[in-house]
Amino acid sequence: MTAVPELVLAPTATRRPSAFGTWLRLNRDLWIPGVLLALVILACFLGPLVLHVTDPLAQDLESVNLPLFSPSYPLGTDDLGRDTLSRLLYGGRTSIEIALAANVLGLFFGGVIGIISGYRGGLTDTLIARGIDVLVAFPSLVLLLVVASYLGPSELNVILAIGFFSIPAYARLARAATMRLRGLTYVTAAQLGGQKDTVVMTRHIFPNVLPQLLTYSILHIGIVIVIEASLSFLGVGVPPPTPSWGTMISNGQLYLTTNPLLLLVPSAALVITVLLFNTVGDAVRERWAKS
Amino acid sequence: MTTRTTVVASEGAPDPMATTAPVLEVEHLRVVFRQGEKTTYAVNDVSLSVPLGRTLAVIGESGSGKSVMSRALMGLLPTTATITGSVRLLGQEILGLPENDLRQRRGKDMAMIFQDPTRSLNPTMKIGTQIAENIRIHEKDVSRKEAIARAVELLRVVRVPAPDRRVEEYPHQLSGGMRQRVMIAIALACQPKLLIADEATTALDVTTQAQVMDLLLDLQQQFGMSMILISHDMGIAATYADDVAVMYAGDVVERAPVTELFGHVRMPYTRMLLDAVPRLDRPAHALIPVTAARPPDLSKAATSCRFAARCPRVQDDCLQTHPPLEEHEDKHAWACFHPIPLERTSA
Amino acid sequence: MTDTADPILEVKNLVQQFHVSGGTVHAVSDISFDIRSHETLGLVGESGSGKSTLARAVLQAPSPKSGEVWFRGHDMTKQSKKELFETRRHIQTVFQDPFSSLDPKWTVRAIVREPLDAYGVGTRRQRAEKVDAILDMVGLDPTSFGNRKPPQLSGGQCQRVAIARALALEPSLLIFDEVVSALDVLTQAHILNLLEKLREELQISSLFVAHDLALVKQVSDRVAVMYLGRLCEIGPAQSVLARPRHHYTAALVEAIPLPDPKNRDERRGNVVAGEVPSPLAPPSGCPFRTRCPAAQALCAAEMPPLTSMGPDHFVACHFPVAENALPASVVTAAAA
Repeated sequence: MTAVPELVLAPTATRRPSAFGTWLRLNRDLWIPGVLLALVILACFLGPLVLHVTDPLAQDLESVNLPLFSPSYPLGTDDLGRDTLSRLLYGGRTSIEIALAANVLGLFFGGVIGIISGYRGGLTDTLIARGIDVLVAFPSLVLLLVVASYLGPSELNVILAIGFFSIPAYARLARAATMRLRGLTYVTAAQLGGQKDTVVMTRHIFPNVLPQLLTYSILHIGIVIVIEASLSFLGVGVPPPTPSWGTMISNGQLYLTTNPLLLLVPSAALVITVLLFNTVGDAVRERWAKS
Repeated sequence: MTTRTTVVASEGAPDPMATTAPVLEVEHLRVVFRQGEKTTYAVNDVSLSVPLGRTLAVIGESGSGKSVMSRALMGLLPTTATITGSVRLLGQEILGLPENDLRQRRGKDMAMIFQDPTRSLNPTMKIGTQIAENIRIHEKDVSRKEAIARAVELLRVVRVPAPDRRVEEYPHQLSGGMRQRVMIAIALACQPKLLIADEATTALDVTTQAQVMDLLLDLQQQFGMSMILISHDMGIAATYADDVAVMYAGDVVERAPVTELFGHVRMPYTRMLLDAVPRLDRPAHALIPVTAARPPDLSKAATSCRFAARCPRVQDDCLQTHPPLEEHEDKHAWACFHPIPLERTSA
Repeated sequence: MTDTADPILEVKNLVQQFHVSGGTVHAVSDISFDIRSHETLGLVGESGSGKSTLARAVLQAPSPKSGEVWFRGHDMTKQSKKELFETRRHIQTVFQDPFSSLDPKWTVRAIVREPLDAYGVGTRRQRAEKVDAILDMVGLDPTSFGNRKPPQLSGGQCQRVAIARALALEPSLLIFDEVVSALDVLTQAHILNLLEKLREELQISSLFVAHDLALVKQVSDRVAVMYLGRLCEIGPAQSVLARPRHHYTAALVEAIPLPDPKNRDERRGNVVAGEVPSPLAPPSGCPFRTRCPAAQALCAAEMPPLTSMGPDHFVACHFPVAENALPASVVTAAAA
């Protein structure tokens, strides 16, 4: 047989990057929005302490409606002479706090309900699943309005209201994941091994459902921030004068023609933050789905 | 069915001494995967040839490189794989062919069937339509009606009962064995010269497996095909193959015609594998002679015998040099410095 | 193996059915057998034969539709939840898929300790010591494996952990459901050797469910063959597989691709035709009659009862295979 020259199909790597370098290259979709998101959150929670911004509630009636880059007011002031930058940072703090708290509530109760429903099956499952369907079928924003106005505007009530309406999404997710796990033999093995149902649910099912719920919660935070803003915009959210992005937008739309900055600045902050949460959430979900 | 003239190309390796040119010739095939920091030497310097009308069984455990090799032959590996060496199909080099040309050869000259037929069939498409579509990919002048008629004929060939009714059914209406027959029908649509069956009967029940293997062997005679059976099962090799190649950690470690191999095992790994197969003739509760060891490290190129760590016949030189596969006896090749002596090998 | 030994488990007329949208799946139909002390009973069948369903029904997970399962003087089908909890302590199971049968989030030690915790055996310290001792027994070094999690283990190692978990409560009966079918041949050999060692040392009785006849022959004292929810043949492994009297058992034996090319042409020609009928509508009479070479009108009319064919060897067939009817190659291979 004649010798055939070796044929190289794919070029071989010339220089080997370091392990960390490779990780950075392969995970751009995760770490770039992740770092930006961390900056936004840090700015909202630590910014006011570091930047020596003025009190967000302090009114300076001699300098109302200042434009961008004014001395000592980089983002200008509003109609009452309050520092827009300061209100934006404190408002972001409120918005993110509400989003996180409502999410934790929804995740916990939704998770518990979903796991019980998926694990027990039968009548329990049917009742819970129909209950969730009913909740989902309601126009939730309208219902939120009713609930929030009934409870009265306060940060806690907003958290409770949004948290309650986050339950169905988490419960459905947890239920589906539990039903998948219930078919796996390690759950059967634990049951046959004499393990109590409560232990199986808390120690075998819950830890394996949690990553999926957490991944979803990153995406859900974005949604909750928008809902919170909508509620505040409609006047049943965080009561003034406490700043939140929703109240800032709501206040800004009154001055749309005279000082559009008051509307644009908090809206931009809202859009960017929600976008970042969604990008990070998508990146995490993609990784979770692969593993 | 149309007949095609057999092309035995001359640009490959014309050997005046050969009476029939092999359908497939693999020389020094290597496959290396590089992904980030991780390098895997999946196939190392494999040379094989499959003569016309013969069946080669490639036997190995998971991680032996047998499936990677078969996918390399078909051009189905991802871009993270670096493939070197030579693969000649009907005398023509196919390694490095552009994807379009390769796609033409796949199906026409060589076809492959896989372990899981459900993944290869579209669940929303009728069986007949799927077979017909495959015919029309390679033969563009065939009308749809004609292709369906050929599909019915093919199903009859692969012994699917009531083929004219089956073409109207969807994959989920068929049993696993029937689905694998449909995959065989699709593979046969263009009368390939080489059929690669990658663990094609592993998921089937033992009686169904026997039926499907029986069918494959009949079809091979009928169509004059060559076959490569990729399997983990020594029984499949012994019962259905003409030649056997045993793979371990990316190397072919022993290669011989079937009766020679099973009659005179020389490579200790083959012996161990053969001993580990459950047999009807072993007394109940007998222990199986196997030695424990970590699976070989494929992230480095071999500098010693990869089997040395679990080999009962290991000596110093096994740890210093990688034994090459050499033909020590007529048609019987092994990669071992200290093969099992002949008198002790009779099974 | 002794014929006089008391059975540790007795299954009587067990029936299991499931209702699905297309009708009723007749998974297990009227099956009776027993497992004697210190013996391994192999249960063979192809997919859809109902062998795994039968094993689950024995464990009352789920409970059978009808029939009795006697273990230690109690009918498990009539036991309360609490009594069943106590009984299950003595019957442990190892499943097929080594990866899905272990919780990926738990450490090896926690997995093996779980049954001990559930039954509140000994003090915390005694349990920890017991876990390490069992890990040692199944060939896993507790110091290097104890704190690992299943995703860091190979298939064979996972299966060792599953075996350790099943041994933790010192059961008297073990049920192995296709425990080695997902493993490579050499790994499979290691696990089989381990099971042999444990059987010797612990004198456990077991039910070994598998689809691989040769494998079952190698580990079992007696073998039961199932087809479409019915028991075809049961008896000493030696006589059932060397001289099968049911046509289905014979077909199975002939279909095994032996790792030996001798007489292969003869063996290749003897393939049983047809497919397993749907368990939604099993044939009348003998379930194998649609594929059986010896089927006659009687087979469709009447389900053949289990009849004695020799010492301890029973066959459910109206026209059993004549003795020595199998090709010589198969018989000599199986009789060795």
